Amino acid sequence: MAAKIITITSGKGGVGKTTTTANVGVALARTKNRVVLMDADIGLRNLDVVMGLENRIVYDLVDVIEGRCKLRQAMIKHKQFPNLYLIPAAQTRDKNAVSPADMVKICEELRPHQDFILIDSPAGIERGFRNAVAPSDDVLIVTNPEVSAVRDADRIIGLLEAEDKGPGRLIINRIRADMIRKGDMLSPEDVTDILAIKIIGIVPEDEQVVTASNSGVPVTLNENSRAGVAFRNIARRLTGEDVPFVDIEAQGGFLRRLSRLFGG
Amino acid sequence: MTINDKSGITIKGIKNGILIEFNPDDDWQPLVDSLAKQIDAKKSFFTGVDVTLHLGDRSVTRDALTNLQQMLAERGLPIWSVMTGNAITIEAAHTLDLKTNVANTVPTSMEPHPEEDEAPNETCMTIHRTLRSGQRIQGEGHIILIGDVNPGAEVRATGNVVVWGRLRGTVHAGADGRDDVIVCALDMSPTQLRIADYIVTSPEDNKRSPQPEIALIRDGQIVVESWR
Repeated sequence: MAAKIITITSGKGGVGKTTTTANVGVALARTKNRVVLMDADIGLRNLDVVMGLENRIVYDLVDVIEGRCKLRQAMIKHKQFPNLYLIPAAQTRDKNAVSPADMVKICEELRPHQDFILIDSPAGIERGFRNAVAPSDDVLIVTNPEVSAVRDADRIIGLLEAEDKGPGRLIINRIRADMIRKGDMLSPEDVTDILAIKIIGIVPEDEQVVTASNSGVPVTLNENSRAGVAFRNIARRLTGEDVPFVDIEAQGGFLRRLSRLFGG
Repeated sequence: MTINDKSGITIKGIKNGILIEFNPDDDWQPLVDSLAKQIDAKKSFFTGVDVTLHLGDRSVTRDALTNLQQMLAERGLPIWSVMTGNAITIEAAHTLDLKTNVANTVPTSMEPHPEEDEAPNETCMTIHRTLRSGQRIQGEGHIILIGDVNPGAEVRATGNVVVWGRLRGTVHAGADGRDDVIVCALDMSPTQLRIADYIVTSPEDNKRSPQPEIALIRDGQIVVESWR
């Protein structure tokens, strides 16, 4: 079966695109899917660091495009999962070293041999974003429950629609139930109220994400992490499984609906 | 001069160049191919003039518009502006740094217009779509938008603006100075609301319940009232 190509993007930087790509990729690989992760952030690569594969890089994406190596040679096998590969970005070049057509070509070459290809998009709406989105079948938009991140996500959805790639599905990252309850943070319902697209994942704020990223072992491999569970659920939803959303989202939505009912 | 044959393309000479209009029901690529042929066949008529594209409500992606722009550029015809009411097309044009105009405002033809003194603001455009952050609709006359205007989006009309949805972005009615125009919305909480030269912002009130409201100028200031 041919692979599904999924781009993870956000507009705003620092909302968790790379963390999401790494964790969803690992979660998919755990359940025996053949997965390739591509870092499209040429010049500012860090998917390799989060995956703990930095010291194994010999060739990168730009080497493949400029013909210095075969695609196979730039694919770094994960330490734990032999069915999970990373294609790293070049660190010494910039976004203009790659064109949308290059990305499409590489992904089509990978497609017959994989189940999922996840592309980690750079922040912004320029060339790097267009490179990352060009080959995609499906787009996941990562946002945080803050006004500026939601505004950028809205802009991205507009751009995706203009490219016939939209509207995509939404991941709300770094949710804090306690702050939502106090009314200090946007709830998932507040976010979808503006963006009006489907949610595929709600990831709670979790300190273990930082520890995991620093050590190069994605948090989803930690059975006790709440964020890890959320990422595994996103992976299951991507494979077509119907996984219900748990506690936080149900609660937030219900309370709000209740308060609306009483005219609050 | 007007060329209008069975190809689905209308080409008119206008004040600042030529106006190319595509039949809305025909497929895009055949139209582009046929346009290229027509231009090649009549080279002398088409040398170095600015092109205004009239795309109506057709949805044209950035790639499609890029191809057309390249085809025209190869023949020495720069696109000067794009007239469209479709938000996807507007977005595509903006990413290519092209000027956009609302579909109804056809530029003045070279032929004299007998009904020129007809009120210019009485044209009206309807857009059925939600405007997202960074998207902008601009037009002569009135604009009716069925959908939401999200924060960061902008609507600008010389006449009235009616939003059948939530208005949370920036809106400017009477953009050329007319102050007898109105803005109304099912849920009125714009980032900024302008009528002619007057500007107001929405009060910070999280507990308000959405209701249809209308904004207009009375006694030298903008007032917002609930719609009854």
